[in-house]
Amino acid sequence: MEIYELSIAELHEQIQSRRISARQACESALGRIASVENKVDAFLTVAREVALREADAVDAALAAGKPVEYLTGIPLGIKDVLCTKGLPTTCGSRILEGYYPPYDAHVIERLRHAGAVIIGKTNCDEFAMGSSTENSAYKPTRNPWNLGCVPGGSSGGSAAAVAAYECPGALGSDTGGSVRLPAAFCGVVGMKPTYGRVSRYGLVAYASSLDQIGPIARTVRDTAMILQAIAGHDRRDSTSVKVPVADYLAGLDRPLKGLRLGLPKEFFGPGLDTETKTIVESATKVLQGLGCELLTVHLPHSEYAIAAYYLIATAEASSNLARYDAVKYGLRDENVQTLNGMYMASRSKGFGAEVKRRIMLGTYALSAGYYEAYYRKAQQVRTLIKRDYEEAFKHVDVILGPTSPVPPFALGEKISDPLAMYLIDIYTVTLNLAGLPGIAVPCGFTQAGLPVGLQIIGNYFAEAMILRVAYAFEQAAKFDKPLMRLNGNR
Amino acid sequence: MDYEAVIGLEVHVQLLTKSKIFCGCSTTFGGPANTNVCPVCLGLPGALPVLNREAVTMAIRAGLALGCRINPQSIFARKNYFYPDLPKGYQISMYEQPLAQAGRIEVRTGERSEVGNIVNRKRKTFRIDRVHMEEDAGKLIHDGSHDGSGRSWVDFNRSGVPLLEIVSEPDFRSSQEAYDYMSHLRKTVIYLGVCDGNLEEGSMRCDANVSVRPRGADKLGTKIEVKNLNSLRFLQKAIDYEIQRQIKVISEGGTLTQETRLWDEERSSTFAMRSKEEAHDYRYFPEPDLRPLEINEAWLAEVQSSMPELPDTKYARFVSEYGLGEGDATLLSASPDWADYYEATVAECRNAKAAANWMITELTSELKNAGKTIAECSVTPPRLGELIRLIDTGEISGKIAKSLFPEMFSTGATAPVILCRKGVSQISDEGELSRVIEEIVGAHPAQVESFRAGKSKLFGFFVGEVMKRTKGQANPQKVNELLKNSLEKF
Amino acid sequence: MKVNKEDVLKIAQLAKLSFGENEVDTFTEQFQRMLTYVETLNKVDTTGVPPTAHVVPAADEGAFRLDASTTSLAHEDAVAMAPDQCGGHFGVPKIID
Repeated sequence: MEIYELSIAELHEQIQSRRISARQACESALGRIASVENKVDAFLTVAREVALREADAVDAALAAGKPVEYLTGIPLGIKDVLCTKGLPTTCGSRILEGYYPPYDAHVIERLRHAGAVIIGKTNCDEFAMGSSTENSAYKPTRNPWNLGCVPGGSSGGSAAAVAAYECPGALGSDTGGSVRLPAAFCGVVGMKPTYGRVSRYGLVAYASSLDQIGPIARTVRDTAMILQAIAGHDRRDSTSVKVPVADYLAGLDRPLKGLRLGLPKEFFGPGLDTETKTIVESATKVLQGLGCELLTVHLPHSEYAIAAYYLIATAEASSNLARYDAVKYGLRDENVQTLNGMYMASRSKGFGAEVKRRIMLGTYALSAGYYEAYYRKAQQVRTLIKRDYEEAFKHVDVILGPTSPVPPFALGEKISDPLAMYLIDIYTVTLNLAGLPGIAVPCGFTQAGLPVGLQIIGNYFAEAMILRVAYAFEQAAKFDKPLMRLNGNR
Repeated sequence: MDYEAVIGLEVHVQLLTKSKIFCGCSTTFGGPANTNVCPVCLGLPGALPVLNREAVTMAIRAGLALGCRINPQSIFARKNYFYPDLPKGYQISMYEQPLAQAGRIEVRTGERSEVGNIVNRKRKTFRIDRVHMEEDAGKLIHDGSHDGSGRSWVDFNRSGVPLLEIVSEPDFRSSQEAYDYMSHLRKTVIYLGVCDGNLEEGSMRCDANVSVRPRGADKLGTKIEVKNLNSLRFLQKAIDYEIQRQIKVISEGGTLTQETRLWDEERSSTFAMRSKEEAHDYRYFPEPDLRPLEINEAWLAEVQSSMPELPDTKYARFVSEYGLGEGDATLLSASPDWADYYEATVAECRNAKAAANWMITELTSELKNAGKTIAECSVTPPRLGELIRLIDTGEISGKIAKSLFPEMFSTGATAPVILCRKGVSQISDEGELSRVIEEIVGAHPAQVESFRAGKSKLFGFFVGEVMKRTKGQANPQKVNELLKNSLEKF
Repeated sequence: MKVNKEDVLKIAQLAKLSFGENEVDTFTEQFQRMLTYVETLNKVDTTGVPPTAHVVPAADEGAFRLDASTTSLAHEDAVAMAPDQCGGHFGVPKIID
């Protein structure tokens, strides 16, 4: 067995017992990247030299007696929307080509502190806007299960890298499903924590009131280990909260008996692919078999979630992306002599089509005369969606459903139809609107051998609870897992 | 036709915090360009604002002093527009729910007569619409002297300095009222310790909205915004000019268009800004990176208990407690520095009238000659108090005291030290004084005769002669005593 | 809401984006579809429903900074990524007014 095949928990054990060094773990991951990256295209930057240097530093610290934490010596991939000092941070956009942030994001500081080794920056939809990673200005990432399919988005690079064993874990960001969807599409575990659980300081903003950083790994335990390292209050993010962080591993294997699991009627209705539906429903039966009670719940405003999401997210994005004005950093079109010309040319050249579409919609939604009808209306619907969940959680402990209405689709299939692409997020966006935590965990494969993910939704700060349910499911589910092929048509 | 002016003022007040409103960068000025900047105030991708609590406390203090209602919850909002001095492409300000609203202040004002003095003095109440917090922008340098390339240059050192915007209702009917309101406001913020009140350097900035209408009309005329008013005098001149200009346009049958004009001091006129700014559409929406600001009772009480005495209260107390005239009380309560100096001096010498006279005459003239402020004055209140006490106990004459003062001011020495150094000590020796008195009495028999016949006014003549002979060094009390004995003993 | 090419160009000016002559028509059509879609919200009765801008509660003491100045960025770092800089200033095309 190769080192790169080990899970974080396994690797951690090996590092703790000094059977494997941080350098060996790093070299193994780099070797795997070198051999499969031309097929997967998960990374925008592979930090070979820096990573090896960091790994050596970790080994030196261990030799000097520094205690081993969960992530000490573990190579991790970082979505390219997180600021990393000394490594480029492009957000998958031309406008930030060659941009090196002068500071580390809070989560990067946390990871470095724990001794994790950042192995590279992963591909994503430009500024995290998309559901397929095809909106990256640099290249599309491929789904390791079928290279002709998309890995999902926007954290497609992180999910694909983990699925293809290029690294055992990664960070993504989730604004409308951008961690959970690619995790489901790539057959790995991905989690969006409660809004405010993880500091956003250093996460390049897409939609500030919805963005949350989340871990991606191949197992639930590994996911919990990463979350443990990054969760907690940070003074530099006013929206991060001072709720104590639970021990996410301690209760992981507690039995589920007696838990009430809610199945939202609206998540299993029309629009859900029948094969996906069957797979997800059988997953819920597995949990029932563990002694859980299945109850039907109602989230009546779910059908409006996509519309509300696209107004709120684009409005915030139109403002968040105004800082790319060619003054302090980023691309500038040099052919223009006037200020307005500089703005127009640089931004038009630097942003891709989807980003422009969203900036336009958001600008419109906030503009004079339309604010009430669009932006404010969407914020009111957001309240109703939040209330739906509050009501449901009076009756159940967690809520289950599909992560995506469809299995991974082919590259190019939906890229020309923005609206069809938006609808992929139908089951994930409601959590972002309400601020709730959710996790996508593999629950089976389609006939075509493509992964399907079960989504487990928890109440505010119930990360430990949904990890526990996901872990129990992971241990109990005995679905047929095809071999990951890394083939198909590129 | 008879016209009346309707004027409202928007005043920006730079708060005296040590660090910026949303980051820890220093607010001190004068350093090289772009040295007091960080990811937050430079608008780097991923950076987030965190509110400076002291800035809020200062804002509350100002709100209370202006008789406003402090909103229990206020919301920061983004004001979106592109300009190179605005690093994020939006300014964090307040919009729908400002910090404080509905204030009123009573201002001592009057009318300016033809010859320029103030007549019809009265107290008038002006209403404050709102007080809100916001961040300052950076500074643009247009002069091209930087490298001669005809570019403009941006320095973000000022970006993120906390500002308070105080918006009045359109309650002023003359430039004099606007002037008096502004100078009252200035005095108030200086007293509160929230701003240094320096208009020339831009710590306080004022825009005036000026319109005219036929007297008695209800409908407001076209509003013209006048900017670049960086002194109280400019404010008054610009409003006067603008009122006359608008009346002229209307009475000649012309129409006014809503626009922004700049005051040009050299030409003593206003002119329309050259480039027609695009129609503004600021697309305000709640700042998602900052949670709503809640000001609870405890915080309000904390601020209330630390409120300093305001200028008007102090003025009234100076009149009643120290028996000062209106003119003296106004001068001495003009700034906290003066008022504090005055009260400390009185505490030392227990002579309120003398302390006032010394400050208004001697001290003022020395400060003026030296170009110093009272805070830089080397004659501290205990020293001035001591000097006054020496006069009051008769140890030195007023004349000597006045002759000592310039040296006290320039060297910082105390009165007794200078007296000693100069050898100017008082003649208190009874033998020596008696000898002089006998001589004078002997030399003026006719006057002695008249005095003894009842012309008691002549006593002063004898005192004067003694002083002349002793070059003013005689102890006046002793002289009185001995002279009385000498004249009455026959 | 019906949008035409002129509306789109007006919004583009606000957003500082430009569209080529042949792009505008496609974009306008896409934009119209997106608007029509989001207008499904009009079916929801939101009378008396307060808007949600923040899902976390109001600022507690943890959401403030104390008024202490901290280290700023090194001067070189501040301007290092600028497309145009000179003498520590950021350069932009000459601004009139």
